[in-house]
Amino acid sequence: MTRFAFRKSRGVTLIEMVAGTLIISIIFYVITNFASNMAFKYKHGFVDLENFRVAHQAINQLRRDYNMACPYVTAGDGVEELKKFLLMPFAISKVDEKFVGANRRIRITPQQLTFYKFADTGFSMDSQPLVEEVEYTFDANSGKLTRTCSGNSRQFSGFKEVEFKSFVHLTNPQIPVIWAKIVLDQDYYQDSGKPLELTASINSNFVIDSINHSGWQYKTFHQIK
Amino acid sequence: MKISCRINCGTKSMFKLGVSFPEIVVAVAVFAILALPIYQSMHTVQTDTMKSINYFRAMELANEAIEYVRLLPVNKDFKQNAEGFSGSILVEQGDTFEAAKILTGDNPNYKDILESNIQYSNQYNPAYFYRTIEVADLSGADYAGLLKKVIVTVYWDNDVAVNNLHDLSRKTKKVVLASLITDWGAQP
Repeated sequence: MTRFAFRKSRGVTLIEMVAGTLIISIIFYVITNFASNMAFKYKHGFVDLENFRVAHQAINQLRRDYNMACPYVTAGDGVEELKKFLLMPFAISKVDEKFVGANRRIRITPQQLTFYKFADTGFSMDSQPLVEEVEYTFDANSGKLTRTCSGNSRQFSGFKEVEFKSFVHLTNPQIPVIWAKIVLDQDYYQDSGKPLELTASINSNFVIDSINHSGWQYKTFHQIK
Repeated sequence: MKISCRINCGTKSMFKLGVSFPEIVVAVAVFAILALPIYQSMHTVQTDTMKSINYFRAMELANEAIEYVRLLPVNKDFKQNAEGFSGSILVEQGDTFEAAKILTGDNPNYKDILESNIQYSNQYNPAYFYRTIEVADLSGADYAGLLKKVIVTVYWDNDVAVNNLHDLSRKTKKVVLASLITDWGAQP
């Protein structure tokens, strides 16, 4: 066996070695470049779209909830507490601060939004409508936005940053509006280095109507669901 | 054992023959032919994703316009004020365009809470979003007088350079949302 192999083998010349290395390098470069391009396109195709869809879902959920934001004032709290809410429905809050006494204004921090909303109970003739507490909290470490309502929680993941702010629009400075920004945890285009963003302005129908129609003198009390 | 047997027996083996240059060229060509459609399809996915993201953003801008219209008291100026929200979300800055700021106001009750500097993301710029808002009265039903119809149309472009922000004739995409606003003052 050994004698046969040695007789047929003639070794490799320097030119052959250089040409072989060159060809292998070119092939390797083409394959790695192709794989890297495919990974980039996959990431900015399927992954971005999925994350953006989740962000859109989160904004839709927040919009649905916040459109129904309302006060939670019981008959025991009295009408004065109701007036306070209608006069100033927003309050600054610290993260994870709890409602104290009858002061249950809409609480906003950059990463947390807490409010009461009319409960989804269908048509009701109850003179004291049911309300429930809703909380949106963003945890930067896990990249998850958590919605908690009536003991149920739902998580929206894949975010790098979530921010809540409030502002008043020039056309009607009486009504505070929520501004939400969601930044996805994915790089934007290769040359920009910015992650994808989605922003939205959101209102409470109750807050708008109670301020625009102060003459209604809303005196309905509420009960917790 | 198996290899040495092959060599000893004089049968052809890869270990013996190696790979010739034409074989490498053919292999690379076959790989390229197979890879090209995959690459193209991934590129299409990436492009379509950007289009979908623009669509999502257009929907949010339309929803946002409806939210702004809801802020307005329904009075004699309602139509004019609502239609005043129409326009581009870009502003001209010399020869270029930059993201517009939301027109924020001031309310002393909330001076510690309110944000006064809110600007759209620059990522919205390449799509050149433009909103139009129309307000129409309803007719027909008994309750028609109590309602106003608000129609928001958001126009945008995918990957097209635009020189005139207000030229809607060349916009390639649009989404339309409509909503009803109650005019409580009109009830008998």
